[in-house]
Amino acid sequence: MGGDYRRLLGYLPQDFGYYPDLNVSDYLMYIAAIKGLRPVFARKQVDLLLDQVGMKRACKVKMRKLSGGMLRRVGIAQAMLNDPKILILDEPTAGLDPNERIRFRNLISEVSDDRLVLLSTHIVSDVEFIANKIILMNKGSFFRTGTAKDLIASIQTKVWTCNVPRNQVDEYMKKYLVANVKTAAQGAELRMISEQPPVFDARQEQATLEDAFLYYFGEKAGNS
Amino acid sequence: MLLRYELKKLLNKRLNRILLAAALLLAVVFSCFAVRSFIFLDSNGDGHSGFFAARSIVADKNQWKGELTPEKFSESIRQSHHDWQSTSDITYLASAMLVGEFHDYDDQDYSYHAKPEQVASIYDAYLNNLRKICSEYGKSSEKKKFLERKYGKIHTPFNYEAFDSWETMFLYVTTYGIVLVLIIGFLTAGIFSEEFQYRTDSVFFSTRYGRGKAIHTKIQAGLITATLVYAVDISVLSAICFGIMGISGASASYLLSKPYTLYHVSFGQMYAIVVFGGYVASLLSASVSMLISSKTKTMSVAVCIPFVLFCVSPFIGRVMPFHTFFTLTPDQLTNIMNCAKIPDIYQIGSFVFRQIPFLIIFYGLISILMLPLVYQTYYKVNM
Repeated sequence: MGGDYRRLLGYLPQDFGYYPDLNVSDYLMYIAAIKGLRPVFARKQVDLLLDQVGMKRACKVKMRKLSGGMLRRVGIAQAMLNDPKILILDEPTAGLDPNERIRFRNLISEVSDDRLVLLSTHIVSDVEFIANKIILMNKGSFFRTGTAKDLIASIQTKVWTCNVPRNQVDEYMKKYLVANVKTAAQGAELRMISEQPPVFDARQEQATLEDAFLYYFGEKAGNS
Repeated sequence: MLLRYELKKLLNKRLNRILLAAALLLAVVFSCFAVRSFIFLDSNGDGHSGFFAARSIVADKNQWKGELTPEKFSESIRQSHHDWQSTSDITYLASAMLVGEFHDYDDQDYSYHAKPEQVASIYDAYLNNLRKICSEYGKSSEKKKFLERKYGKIHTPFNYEAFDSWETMFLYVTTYGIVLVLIIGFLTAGIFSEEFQYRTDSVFFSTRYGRGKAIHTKIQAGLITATLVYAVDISVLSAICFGIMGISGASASYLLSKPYTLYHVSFGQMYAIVVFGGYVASLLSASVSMLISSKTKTMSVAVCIPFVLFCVSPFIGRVMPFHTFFTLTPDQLTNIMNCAKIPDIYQIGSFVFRQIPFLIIFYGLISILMLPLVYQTYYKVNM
C-alpha cells in the first residue's frame, strides 16, 4: 500500500504497542507527525481527541504509567488523529473490565460517523451494540453478511431451553450446540440451538446475536 | 516536527539518559587523569602533580622556544644532565634525528643518548635518515618517489615550542573516542529496533510516512545523535583539558615529536585529525548499528558489532598474519595517534596513498553508502 492510501487509514492493533518513555501528548504528536499532519493541525487534533477519549488530564503522564483501559483510549485517539476514512480496530475491548468496555464501546460508536469502521472482535456483545453491518468470516473467507437483526432472524426458531437431569448434561452437550448451562433445582436448565425441539417439553426462546454466533461458529462438546 | 519527536524518543529513554550522563562524567574523569598525569619538578627537585603542573612544565620548556639550530641542540643536550625536565623534548628529538626511526623498544636505549658533539651537522644526519626511510619503505619506484616527495617538503631548521598538552591529549582523546563510539553504537541501534521491541511497528508502518519520510527521519536522528554526542563530549574533554593545561605548541610542527612522520602538520592540526578520525568512527558505528538493528529487529546484535569492529579487531590484528590488511581495518580510525607515527604507505596500480587519508575517506564513504541500505532494509520490513 502506498503512502496516499495509508493516509486514509486509522489502525488500532490488538497488541497495541507504545513508547513507554513518551508522555501521552508527545506520543500522539509523534504519531501525528508520521501520519503527515501539519504541526498546528496536529496540536488541535491531539487536544480534541484527548478531550473526546477522556484523557486530557492525563496528557502529561508517561505512557508506561497508564492502565490498560487508558492505553486503549490513547490507542483509539492515535487511530483517529488523521480523521481516517477507514478505521480498523482489532479486538479493541480485549482485556478491558466491564466499565472500560462499555465506555470504549460508546467511544467507538461516537467516532463511527462518516467513516467505515472495521471492527474485528470475539466479544459478541460489542458487535451487537456497535455494528450496523456484520461480516462473518471463517478461515479467511466471508460466509455471511447482514445486520445484527438479520443474523438473529436467521436462527429465530432454533433456540430452546429445557430442563434435564444433571447426569445427562454431558450427553446433551455432545449432541447439541449448548449456549448456556444453568443449575436448577431438579437438574440443569440448558439453552440449546437446534433445528427441532431437543425434548418434547422444550420452550422456544428469543434468539440473541450470541446464539447466532454459536450457531455459525460453535462446536459441540465432542467435536473440539 | 518528526525529527524533534524522534530525538525526543531517543533522549527520553532512561538508559540512554544514563549513558549520556556517563559519557559526560567520563569526559570530566578523563580530563582529571590527563591534567594530573604531569609531575612538575621544582628547582629543589620536588615533584608537584597539581592542576597547574602542566602549565609549569610547559613554561619551563618554553625557555627553549624558537629556532632549533645545531647550537641550541648542543646547549640543550649539555644542560640536560642537570635540567632534564626542560630539555627532554629536544634531547629526544636530537637522538631520533641522529639515530633514525625508532623501530622497537630496543631503540629506546638510544632515545636520549645524543651527545653535544654529535649535533653540529644534525640536519644532515636527519636528511640522511629520511633518505634511508625512503629506501626502506619505498619498495617500489612509485612508493619511493612518493616518500621522497613528502619528505622533500620538510622545512629545517625546526621551530620549537613545548607541546606537552597536545601529546597528552592524543592519548586521552583516542581512548575517550573509543568509549564514545561504543555509546553512539548503543544509542543509534535502538532507533530502529525499538518499533519491534515496543510492538509499535504495526501502527508505525500503517501510517502515511511509515515507509518513507519517517525512515529518513530515523536515519537523520541517528546521524545527528552521533554528531552531537561526539562533538559535545569531545568539546567538553578538550575544553577542560586545554583550559587547564594550555595550548602551547598548537602551531608547532608535529615533526618535533615524530620526526619521521608522513604527516607534516602542526600539533593542533594533528589533534583535529585524531578527533575527526574518531568522528568518522562514530558515524561508521552509527551506520552499522542502524543497519544491523533494522535487519535483525533487535539491539543485541547491533550493539555488539561496533564493539567487535573497534575493540576486538585490534587484538585479532596483532595475532593474525595479514599485517597490511589490519592496518586498514576500522579500529585504526580510533588509533590515528599511532598511525601517524609509522610511515605506512600503500599502492594500488601506480597510485600510492597514506594510511590516515585512506581510513578517513574510505570509512567516511562506507558510512554514507550504508545509509540507503538502512532505508531499504527497514522499508521492506513486514512486507
